[in-house]
Amino acid sequence: MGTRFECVLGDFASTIPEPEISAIAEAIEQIVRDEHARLSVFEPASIISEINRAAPSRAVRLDDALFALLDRCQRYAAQTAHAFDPAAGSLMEAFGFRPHAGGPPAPIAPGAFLLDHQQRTVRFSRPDALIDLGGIAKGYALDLIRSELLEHGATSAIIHGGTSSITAIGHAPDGAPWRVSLLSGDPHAPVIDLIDRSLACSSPSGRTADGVGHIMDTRTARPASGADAACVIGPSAEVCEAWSTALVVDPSLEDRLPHSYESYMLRAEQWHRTPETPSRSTDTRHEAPTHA
Amino acid sequence: MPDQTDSPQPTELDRRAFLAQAAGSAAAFAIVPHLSASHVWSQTEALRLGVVGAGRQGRAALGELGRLENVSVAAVCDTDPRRLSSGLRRSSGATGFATVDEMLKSGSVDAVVIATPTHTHKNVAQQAMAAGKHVYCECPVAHTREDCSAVAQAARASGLVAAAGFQGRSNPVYQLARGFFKSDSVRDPVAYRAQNREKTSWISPARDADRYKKLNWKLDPQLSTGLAGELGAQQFDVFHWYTGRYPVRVSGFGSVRAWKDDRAVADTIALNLGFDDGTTLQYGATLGNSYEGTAEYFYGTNAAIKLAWSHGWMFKESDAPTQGWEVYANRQQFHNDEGITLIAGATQLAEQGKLKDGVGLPYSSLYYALADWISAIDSGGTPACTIDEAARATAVGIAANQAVVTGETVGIDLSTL
Repeated sequence: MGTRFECVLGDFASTIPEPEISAIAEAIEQIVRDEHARLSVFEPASIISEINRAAPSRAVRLDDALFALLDRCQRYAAQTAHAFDPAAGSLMEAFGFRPHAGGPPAPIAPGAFLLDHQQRTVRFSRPDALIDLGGIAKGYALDLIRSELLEHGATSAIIHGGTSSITAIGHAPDGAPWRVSLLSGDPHAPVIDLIDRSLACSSPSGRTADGVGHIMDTRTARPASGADAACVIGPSAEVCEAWSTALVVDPSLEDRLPHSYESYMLRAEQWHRTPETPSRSTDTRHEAPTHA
Repeated sequence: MPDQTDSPQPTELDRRAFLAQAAGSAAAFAIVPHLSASHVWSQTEALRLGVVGAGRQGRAALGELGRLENVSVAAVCDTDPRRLSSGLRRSSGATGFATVDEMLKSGSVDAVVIATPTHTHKNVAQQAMAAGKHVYCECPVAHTREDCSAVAQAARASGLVAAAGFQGRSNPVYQLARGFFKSDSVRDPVAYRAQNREKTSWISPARDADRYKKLNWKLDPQLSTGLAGELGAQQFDVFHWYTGRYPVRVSGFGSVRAWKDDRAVADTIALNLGFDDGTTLQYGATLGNSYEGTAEYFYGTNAAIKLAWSHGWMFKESDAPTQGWEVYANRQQFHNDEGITLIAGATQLAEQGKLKDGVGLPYSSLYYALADWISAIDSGGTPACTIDEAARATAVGIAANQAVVTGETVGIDLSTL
C-alpha cells in the first residue's frame, strides 16, 4: 500500500475512556501495518513478494484470508472482463512503476494465476506473471478496519487510505453526512455524502512515470486511458476499488456495476454519473466481501 | 567508496581474490542456513502444528508457518473466540480449539507453538511436553524465575525439541555479525547499548470488562515482566549469545511518561546491566516514541556493530585495518558515519553481482526462528535457542524489571538455572 491512512473517530455506542480510544486507533494502525507487510510488492518479505518469486515454479500455499482475497480478485477480473486484473504486475514493471527485470510489455491473457481450492494454493500459468494488489489492497484494508471499528462499537468514523479510498461509518459528529469532494480543487467535481458507505477513486494521473499513468490494461498491455477518473461508491471499499480501476480501463462497464454500487466518471472534462438502469446487475456474487 | 552497484565489474582475478579473502575471514562470511523460504521437512507426512494463542504474536507465527514447506497448521487454540476466529483466518484448513487440553487430546498435532500471555507459558508448555509434543515457546519464557526453572526442567526431562523465541540466535544477519564480533573486526569490546522504542499504548481494546482485563495482562504488575522482560529480554539474549556472558547486576529506573492512564507498569525505562568483565549494557525502552526503533549496539576498539533485526551494519574506526572484502562491501551513510552493511550470504550474492539485493533479510526474524526449530525437529538436533538459554535470558529480564520496580540494584545469579 505504501501510503498514508488517516482516521477520524467520531463517536461510539457507549462511553469509552480516552486511552482505550487511542488503543482502538492503534489496532487500526496495526491492521494497516500488517496488511502492508503481507500484501505490498515493495516489501521483500511480504507474502505477495513470496508468491511472485516462487509461484512461477511451484504452488504456494496461502492462508484462508489471502486465498479468499485472491479468489475474489479472480471474480472481479471475470466480472470486469479483466479490465481489473491483479496480474498486472509485469506491466507495472515494464512501464517503470517497479524495478524492471522482464521483457517488453505484453498482453496478459486471463488465467495468469491459478488457484487450487483443494490445496489452497496459487501457481502462475506463465513465468512472467506477477501479482500486484495495488489496485485493491487499500480497499481490502479499509474493509478490515471498518469491521474492527464496528466490533468496538463505533457509530461515527471515517477512514481514508491515500485519499483515494474511503470508508465511512454513520454520520459525522455534527449529524451531517460525511461529505467528500471527488477531486479537490475542481469546483465542478461532484460532492458525495457518505453514510455507512465506501468510496474509491482511480485516475491514471494519480501517479505517473515518464508521463504514463499507473493503471494498466492487461488486455492490451497499455496504460489505461478510458476515463480520466472513475469513482465508485458502495458498501465495500474493496469492491469500490476494483471497479473504479476497471472503469478507468473500460468505461462501458458501468452498466455492469454491482447492485447497490454507483459510479461517477470524468471524461473530456465532464463528470458523468452512472445511469440507474434496469440492466444493472443484481447478481448476489457482487455482494460485499466478508472478512469474518 | 563507490556503491557496489556503481562499481565496475571486478575482473576474474579480483573476484577470485575477493572470494579467497572472504573465505579467509572465516565465520564472518560463512553462508548461513535458511535464507531460502523453501525449508523442506524431510518426513513423508507434513509436520502437524498447533498454535496456541491467536493474538498478535500468534497470528504473526501463523503467517510465517504458512511459508514453510511440508508443515501444516492443523490446529489453532485460543480461549478468546474472537481471536480464535481471527487466527483461523490466518491459517488454512486448521481446526479451532478453545482449550489446550482439547487440542492435545484431539491427536491432531505433533508440535506446539506457544504464543499465549507470558504468565500462561509454563502450564501450556508442561501440558504440551507431557503429551509428547515438541514445543516452541515465545519469549519471555515465563513471568517468574520459578516458572522459568519449571519449564526448563520439563524440557530437559522430555527429550523433545523445545525451543524459545529469542530470535537473534537464528537470525542470519545476527549470525553473520556474531562472526565479526568474535573475530578481530571489532576487537576489544568497550561498551554495549540497546534500545526498544515504539509508540504504542500496550492496550488491547475490548468492550467487555472481563475480556479487557484478560487481554491487558501486560499492564498488570502481578503478571507482567514490564518493558524489561517483555521487550528487553529478547535483546539481552543477543549480548549473552555474542559475549558468552550474563550480567551479574542490574540497576534501573522507570516511570509513566507517555500514557498517563493510571497504569502501574512503567512505559519508559532505563537500565544499566553490568558484566563481570567490567563492560556494561545501557538499555532504554519506551512506549512513547518510535525513533530508531529496536536496535543493539556493540562498541569495540576497531569497530562498532549496529543490529536492527532485519539489517546490520559495521562502523570502522579510522585506525582499524581494512580487510580485503570491505573493498566490495555495500555501504550506507548515517550522518557523519559510514556503515558497511552486513549481508547474509554475501559471497553468493557478490558472485551473482547482486550484493545490494541482499541488504535486509527477505523474511522476518520470526520466520528464521520457527524454521530453525522445525529443522531441529527434523534432524533431531538442538535448536538455536534452547529453553535453558531462554530461561536464563528471561531471568535477566525479570531481574531488570525488579530493578525498575524497586529502584534498587539487583544482583543476578543464574547458577540455579
